[in-house]
Amino acid sequence: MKVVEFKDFSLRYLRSEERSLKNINVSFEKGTTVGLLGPAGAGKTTFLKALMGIVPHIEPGYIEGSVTVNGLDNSEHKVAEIARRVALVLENPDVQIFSLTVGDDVAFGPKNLGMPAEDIIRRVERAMQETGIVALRDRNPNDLSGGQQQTLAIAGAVAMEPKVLAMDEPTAMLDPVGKDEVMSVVERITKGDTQATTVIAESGADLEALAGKLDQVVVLDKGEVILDGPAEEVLIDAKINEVGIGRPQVTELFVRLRDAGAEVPNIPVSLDQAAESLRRLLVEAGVDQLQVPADYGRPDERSPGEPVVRIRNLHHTYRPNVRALRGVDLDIHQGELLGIIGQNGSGKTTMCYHLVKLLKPSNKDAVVEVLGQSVQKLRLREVIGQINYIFQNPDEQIFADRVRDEIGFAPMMMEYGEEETKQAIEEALDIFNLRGHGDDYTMKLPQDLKTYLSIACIYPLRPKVYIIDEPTTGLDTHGIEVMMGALRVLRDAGHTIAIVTHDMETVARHCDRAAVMLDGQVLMVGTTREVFAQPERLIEADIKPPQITQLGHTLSDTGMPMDVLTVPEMANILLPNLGLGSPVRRGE
Amino acid sequence: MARWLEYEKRDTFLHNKLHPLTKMVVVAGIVIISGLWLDPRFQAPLVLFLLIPIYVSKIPLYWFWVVVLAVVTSAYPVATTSLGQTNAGLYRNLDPVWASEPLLGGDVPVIGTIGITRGGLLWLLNAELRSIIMASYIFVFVYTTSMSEVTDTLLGLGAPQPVVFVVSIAYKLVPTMSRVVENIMNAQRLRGWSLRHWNPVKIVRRAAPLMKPLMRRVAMLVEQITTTTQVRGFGSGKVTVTRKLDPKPLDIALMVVTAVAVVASVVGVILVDLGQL
Repeated sequence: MKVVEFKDFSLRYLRSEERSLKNINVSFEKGTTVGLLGPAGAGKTTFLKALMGIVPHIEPGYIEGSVTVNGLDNSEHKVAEIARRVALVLENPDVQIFSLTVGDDVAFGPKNLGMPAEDIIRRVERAMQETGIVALRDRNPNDLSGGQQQTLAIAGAVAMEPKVLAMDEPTAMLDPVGKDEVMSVVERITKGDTQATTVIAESGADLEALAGKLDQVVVLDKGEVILDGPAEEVLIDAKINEVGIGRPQVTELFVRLRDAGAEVPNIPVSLDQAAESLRRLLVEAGVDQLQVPADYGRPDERSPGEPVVRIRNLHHTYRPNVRALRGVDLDIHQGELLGIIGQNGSGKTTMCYHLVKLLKPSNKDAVVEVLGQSVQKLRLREVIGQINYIFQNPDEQIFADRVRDEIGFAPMMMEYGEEETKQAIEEALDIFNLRGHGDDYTMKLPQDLKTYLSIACIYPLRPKVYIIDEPTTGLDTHGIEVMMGALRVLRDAGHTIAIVTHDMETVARHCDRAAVMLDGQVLMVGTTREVFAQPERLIEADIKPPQITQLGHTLSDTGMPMDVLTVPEMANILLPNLGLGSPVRRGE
Repeated sequence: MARWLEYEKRDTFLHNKLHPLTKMVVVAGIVIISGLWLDPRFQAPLVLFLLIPIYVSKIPLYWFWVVVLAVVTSAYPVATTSLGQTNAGLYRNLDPVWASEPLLGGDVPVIGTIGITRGGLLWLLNAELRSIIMASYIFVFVYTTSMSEVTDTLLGLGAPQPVVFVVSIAYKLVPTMSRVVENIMNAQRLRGWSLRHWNPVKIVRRAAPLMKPLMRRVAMLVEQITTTTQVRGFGSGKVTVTRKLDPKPLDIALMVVTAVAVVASVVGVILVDLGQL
């Protein structure tokens, strides 16, 4: 039974010259999970807004064609009425939670619909049970983890008993465990009593978390549907990579194996499917124990330089008694790219704030040194020339009209010379993929360029160490490549880079070392390979390694190394064992 | 940890034992009474009484830096309207000669006599104490009363839904904005920015790196919060109120005392110039 139908639907926003959605013809069945994939700016959010009736009812625009939900045309009903059939969950839980307790917040929607008290109680109970948050009923939402907060937002949506649950990048801000929590909830809602049709917009970074749960995938690019079909078919289509979404790592592995000549009847899209298919392949090839080539790893693993950042016994307590850091010890070495990983609330950001003097340690014997100097003894203007920190959200930083002015702001504030400033601006434009955009209006930049710009703005200060908070959030696969390419250029020029991130694939592919934080301490630190090869300790920190590394862990009984970090590395091991030669693409 | 102007769940008498309606009535009563009085000697007990809710609620003391800043920065403009007041006819309770005699200053052609007077100083002191009282009691209310308590109480009182909507959005937005302001200021400070300068024109120009992203974020947040409330049915019609007002005897007693105090103050001001200079 069709629950949602877009028929010849096109949309142009009121003040826009181009159509944001063009001739959309898709339909979704009851009780299915639909992945709405597309690179940044493809039209995914607009699609969800049309599904919810936000356009044209709240955000005006010109529409052609129709969107019907449960047979009712959205154009004929107000958003508040559509809210009885469609619920929307956004990326940021912070703007979706309104109440003091979890129970109250779940009840917020049904109360607004003016339902009888008994009905509200029934809906709240059911929503909390389906989303697994009954035990959190009396908790303050502010005290919950990111995953729990997003689950609460979903519970609030489920309590509306919608026919369609639309979610816009619901796991983008979550740590790996939070992503899993949310996706489990989605599965329960879709396949459980609610039988809601779930539509999840995703730009690619979290595709692995949801690929195995998808029944249908619709791919948008530049406002048009370019692919629509079952997940197993769409996710192996070459267009997925061409538009910059990227495939799940296990899918990419099997596409490579198939292209090399392996007989793979079904390309898997999830970890479980991949493990099963790979075991079958190995059995068919008569491989009991894998012969692992010595050079399967990436060739450019670097040895660490001298420590440029030294942290010892760092404690920090927020009022009234929240111990955010409990004795952090960490060295960051010259010329390395370090990934700082850990659950939401593990102390990553608090630690980084101390490095740039935005916070003071709570204990007097703490050591926070950059290039041998105590950060607390330096003036802030001295600190930012040595080490700098880039916040996650570029919209909370960018203010100048033009890109060039934005990059030139820091040197102007520091009263650098004109020539020096000009040269730094030009270099920054080159490094951060902004060449050709120097005179563009900053507010008209797409999100990926804004993210590059936020780091480019710091470049003219010539810090030796960059600390960057979530540099890949909101970027599609292509954007992540550009960003990490720029950071590698900086690293290769001798700068030290530390990124705070939840994106384990990025850490595995690009970082030299990783530091895992847990409960305000550094649980472990080592080369990325060493860290991801210790699944038991990672579980302790609620961290999941990249999907391909997890596949390696699952297949360790076959002789697969525990420290495989990338798809080419695993292909390098498997292909010779399957008698398919070794099309090694080193350094990939 | 609660941000500035953000409710924090704590186990205190004011958080858990007083009904939100009682808190609303008491705060509104104190604001009205404080607004009626012009004599700082009458405001002084309210300031002293303020120490009790501040202590009991365990409100973070850093919240009050804003009050200190406001008192200091408003002193000059308030003073310009009060200190030069030498019109003896304005004083109802004070000795007009004593109150209006210029301590500093003298006759100015065309304008007449201007100067700092005792009455003007008392008026200035009263205005500043009133600012402290009003802001502080509102801070205590916000710190001890959650958004859902406020909206439920307003709905229970029959307040129109659009009013409740605006209150709830403001309640949600203010602490979020405080977080955003902190982020923006930190991000710009790390680019060498500072608002500090001796030249007021430069201070205004230097505010752009703070104000532009802030305005943009405010617009985005308002849009997001408005959207998220609407998609959860807010504004669709009659809202079900699940929490009954149901105040306890202590609440009723406090509300009655407050109401009596307000009425007595109004009558006192009208009949006997109570609390006037």
